[in-house]
Amino acid sequence: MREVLTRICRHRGDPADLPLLRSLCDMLKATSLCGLGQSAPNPVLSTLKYFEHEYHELIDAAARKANGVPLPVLSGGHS
Amino acid sequence: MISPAKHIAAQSLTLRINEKDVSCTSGQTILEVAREHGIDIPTLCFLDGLTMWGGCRLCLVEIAGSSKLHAACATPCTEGMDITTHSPRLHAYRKMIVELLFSERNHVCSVCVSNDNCELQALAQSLGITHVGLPYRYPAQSVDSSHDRFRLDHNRCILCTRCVRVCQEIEGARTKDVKGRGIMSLITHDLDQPWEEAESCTSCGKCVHVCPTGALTDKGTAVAEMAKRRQFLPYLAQMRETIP
Repeated sequence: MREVLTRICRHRGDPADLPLLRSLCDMLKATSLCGLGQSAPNPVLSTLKYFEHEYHELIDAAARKANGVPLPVLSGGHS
Repeated sequence: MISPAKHIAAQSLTLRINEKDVSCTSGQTILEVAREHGIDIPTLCFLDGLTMWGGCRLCLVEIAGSSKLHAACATPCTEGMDITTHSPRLHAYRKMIVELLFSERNHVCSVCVSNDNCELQALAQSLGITHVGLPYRYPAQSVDSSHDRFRLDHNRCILCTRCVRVCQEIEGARTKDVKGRGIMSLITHDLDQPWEEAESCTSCGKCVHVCPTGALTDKGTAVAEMAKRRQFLPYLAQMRETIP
């Protein structure tokens, strides 16, 4: 999950990363024994719920970067 | 598995597994009862004759009235339980867990000595995994070939800890243990020494034969030659229980 998130934030994301991230979070949440595993994916799931557009912006930026178009200034905080 | 409740008062319970009414005695786990009735729940860390571990999360089942999933190997049956062992949701989770196992380390079957004799491979086939949709990590782990007869290949290890448990519970040597955290965990010998230098090891080879994959193997085996023999285990465990 961390690898996928880092990839998206560094403008190397792929549209397939979003469903992958969602299914990983869901699986971790459901199959964990302890409370850490059950709640650790929550921040990722919340950002996916409320800031999904930022994920899309970053992934679109990744596609533009791959095509040699300069990166736009994004609305959200990211590194 | 040794269940203390069995020795106190065996009480008869009735429950439902997959819409079928079954009966069992108190102290039995869901997995035991399901297997008695011919229902196959996939497992990797569980092995008859060893204590349960509950780490592989493949035997997770749905119990009506509980929002959580429960590991069948670690959950004792209670009166009136309504259990679902196979559903599209559970199948998807199981598939993903096995895919994650494949992506975590190097599990290339075609060059593995345990090819065709591997529980991980058989499980992937039965779950219908044709490809791994996750990025492979392939960390370069070491191979410990220092022992005269056996080899430990960390790259094939799924950290089921069967070897750790058999070494402690059946052989009583306690040579093996786990170090590290998460997916970086590794099986160790004594004080994290090469296997050859581990003085507590009796070279009994039980760990090799309980290993579900090609992580622990006999030396001198080529591709697909390493068949495991683990019939001895329930027998040994039973002998221990009957001798006072």
